[in-house]
Amino acid sequence: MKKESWIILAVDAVFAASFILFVALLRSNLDWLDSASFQRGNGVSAATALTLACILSVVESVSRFVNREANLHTFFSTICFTIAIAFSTEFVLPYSEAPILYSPLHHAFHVITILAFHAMILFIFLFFHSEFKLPLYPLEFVFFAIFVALATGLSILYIFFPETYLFVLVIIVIVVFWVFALLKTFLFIPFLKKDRYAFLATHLISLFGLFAILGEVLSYRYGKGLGLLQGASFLIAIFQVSIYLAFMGQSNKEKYEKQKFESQAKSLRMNVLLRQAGPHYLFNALNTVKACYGHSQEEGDRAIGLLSRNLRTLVESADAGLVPFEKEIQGIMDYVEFESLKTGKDLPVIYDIEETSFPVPNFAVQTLVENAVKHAEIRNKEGGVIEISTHEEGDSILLSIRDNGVGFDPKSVPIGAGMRSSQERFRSLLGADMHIQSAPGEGTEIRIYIPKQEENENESSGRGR
Amino acid sequence: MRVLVVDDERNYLHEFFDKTVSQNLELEFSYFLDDEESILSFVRNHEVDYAFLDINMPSVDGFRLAGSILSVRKNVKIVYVTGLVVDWEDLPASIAPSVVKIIHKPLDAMELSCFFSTLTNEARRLRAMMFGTFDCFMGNIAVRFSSSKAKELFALLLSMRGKTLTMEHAITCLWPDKDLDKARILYRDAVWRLRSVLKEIGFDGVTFLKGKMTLDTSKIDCDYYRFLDGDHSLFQSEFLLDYEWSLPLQSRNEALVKGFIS
Repeated sequence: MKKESWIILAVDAVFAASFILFVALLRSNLDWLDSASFQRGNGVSAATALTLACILSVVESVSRFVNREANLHTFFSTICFTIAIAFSTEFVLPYSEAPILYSPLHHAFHVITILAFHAMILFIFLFFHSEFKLPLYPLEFVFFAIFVALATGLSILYIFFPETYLFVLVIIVIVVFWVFALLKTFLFIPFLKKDRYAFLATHLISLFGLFAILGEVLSYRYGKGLGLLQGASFLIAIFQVSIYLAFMGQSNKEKYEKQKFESQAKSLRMNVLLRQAGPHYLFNALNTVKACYGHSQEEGDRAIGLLSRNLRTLVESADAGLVPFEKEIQGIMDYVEFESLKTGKDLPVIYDIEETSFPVPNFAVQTLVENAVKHAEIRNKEGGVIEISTHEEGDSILLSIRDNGVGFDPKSVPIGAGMRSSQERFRSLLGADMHIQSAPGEGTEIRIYIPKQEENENESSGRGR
Repeated sequence: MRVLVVDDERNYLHEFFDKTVSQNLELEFSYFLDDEESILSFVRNHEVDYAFLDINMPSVDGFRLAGSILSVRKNVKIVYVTGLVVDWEDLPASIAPSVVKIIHKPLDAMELSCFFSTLTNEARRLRAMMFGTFDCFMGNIAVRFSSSKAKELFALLLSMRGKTLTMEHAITCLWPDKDLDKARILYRDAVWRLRSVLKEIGFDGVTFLKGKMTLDTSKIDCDYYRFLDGDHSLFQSEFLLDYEWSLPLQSRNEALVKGFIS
C-alpha cells in the first residue's frame, strides 16, 4: 500500500479513537456539559461554524451566477451543509427563545439535519463523478438510498419509541453509510494522478461528517449540546475553504504559467519563423532547389513543393498552440526529405508509429528532430539512424526520439533553447513530462510521456469553476 | 467536361498545361488571361463546368470574377489556385458555396491529377503495374514512395489480391534476416510511410488495422489481376522485379500461360 494510504488510515484511526474516547467520557460524566461556560463556548462555536457555512454558500452562489456552466453539485452540497448546521440540535437549543427540547419542531429539525448531512455527502460524490470520473455504480445508489431511508426512518421511529436498541440501530446504520463513503475515497486516492489533495480533503470531510452526524444523534439523545457537531462542522468548513484556496491558487498558477510559456513560445516561434524564412534560410533552400532541377525536372518540382509546403505551414501556424500529431509528423517527414535532397544522401529516419490520435505543441517535435539531425552527426556514422516512435504505455502515450549518434553529456552541456522550449510547452500545454538521456558516444534518447486526453478535456486542469 | 483556367501570368498557364497534358484526361481546357470581358463572353456561349481561378490579378480579383461567372452560369464549380495563404473562412459568402477546392501554388502535378480523377469519377483511379518492375500511377503520374521497403510492402499487399496481409507474413517476406524486434520496427516504419503516401494521393482503398492490412481490389486497376482473370497477353517474363518473394507467384503465372494449370 502506498504511503498516502497509510497516512489516511492513521488519521482515520486517530480521529476514531478520539471520538470513542469522547463518547466514553460522556457516558461517565455528563455534569460538566451543563456548565454555563461550556454551553456558551458551544453556542459561539456553533454560530461560527454556521457563519462559515453561510459564507461558503454565498461564494458558491456567486460563482454559479458568474459561471453558468459551473457544476451545481458543489452548490447543493454546501447548501445542505448549511441547513444541517442550522437545524442541528446543538445550534437550535442555545439559540431558540422558547423551550424547544423534544418539541415536534425539534424532532422535525433533527430529522432534517440527518437528511441534510447525507445529502451533502451524496452531492460531493456526484461532483467527483462528473468532474473527475469517479465511478458511481447504480448499485451504489441503491445502497445509498436504502441506508439513508433506514437512518431517517429509524430516527423518526426513535422519536416515538425511544428504546435503546433503536438508538443503537440508528448509530449502526449511520456509521455503516459513512464508513462506505470513507472507503470509497480511500480506495480511489492511490489511483489519481492529479487533484489527489481534493480527494484527501473529501475523505477528511466525510470523516468529520460522520462525527458531526453522530454528534447530532447523541445531542438529541442526551438533550444537550455536546460540542461534537459544531466541532466537526468547523473542521468541515475549514477544509472546504482550504480546497477553494488550493484550487484557486493552483488554477491561477497554472493559468499564469501557461500564459508565460505561451508568450515565450510565441516569441520563440516568431524567431524560428524569421530565422527559417529569413534570407539565409531561403537562399540555402533555393540553392537546394536549383541543384535538384539540375538533376531532373521531377526532383526540382518535388523540392519546390516541399519548400512551399514548409513556408506555408510556418506562416499559417505561427499562432497555433496544439496541432494533431499527424500534422506535426507530416512536417517532419517533409523536413527530412528536404534535408535528404539537400545533401544528396538519404537521411536515415525510422518512423515507428503506432499511435497518432493525440495533439502536440506546434513545432515542438520537429525542433527535437532538427536538433538530432544537426548535432548527432548520424550521416557520418555507419548505421546511424534517428528513430521516432509512438506507443501506448499504460495510460500515457510514449513519444520517443532516439538516435545512435555522438551523444552529449547532459551535466556539462546545457540543453539548447529549442529543446527547453519544447519541454516547457509539452509540460504546460499537455502536462507531459520530457526526459532527456544521453552520453557521449552512446547517442541520445528523448522520451515524452503524454497523458491520454479525455475527449472533452483540452485544458490541463479539469475543474470547472 | 470543360475547364476554364484563368491567371494573369502566361507562364502559369503554360505550367498548368504542361502538368495536365500528359494525363490523357477527357476534359477540355480553355485558357484565359485576366480579361473579364472575354472570359464572360466565353462563359455565356459555352458550357463551363469548372473554373480554376487565381485570386491576386491586376485587372480583376478572383472573388469578383467568380461572382460574375456565377451570375452568367450558376452551376460552375470554382477552384482557387493561389500563392496566398487563404483559408475557407476568407472566401466571400456569396461565392463560397460554389468553391470546391483551394489549391496552392506552385502547382503539384500529383495534386491536380488526384483532383481530376475525382471529377471523371474513375473508380479504379490507382493503376498498378506488377509485370516488369513494380510501379503505381495516379493519372499518368508515377507514385513516389518515400522508401523502397514501403513500395515493396505495397507490392506484397497487392499480390494478396484482397486477402489480409499480416505483420508476420510481411516480415517473413521483406525482412527475413532481421531479428524479430528490429523487423517489427522496420515493418511499422514501412506501414507508416505507405499510409502517408496513400493519403497524399488520396487513395482510400487500404484498411490499416493493428498488425494487418487489407486492400479493396475494386479501387485499383492492376495488370496482374487482369492477367489472372484471363488476359494472358499482359504476361511478361519479369514480374515484380527484384522482389525475391515474388518468385513463386511468377512460376505460377508461367504455368498459367503455358496452360499447365487454369
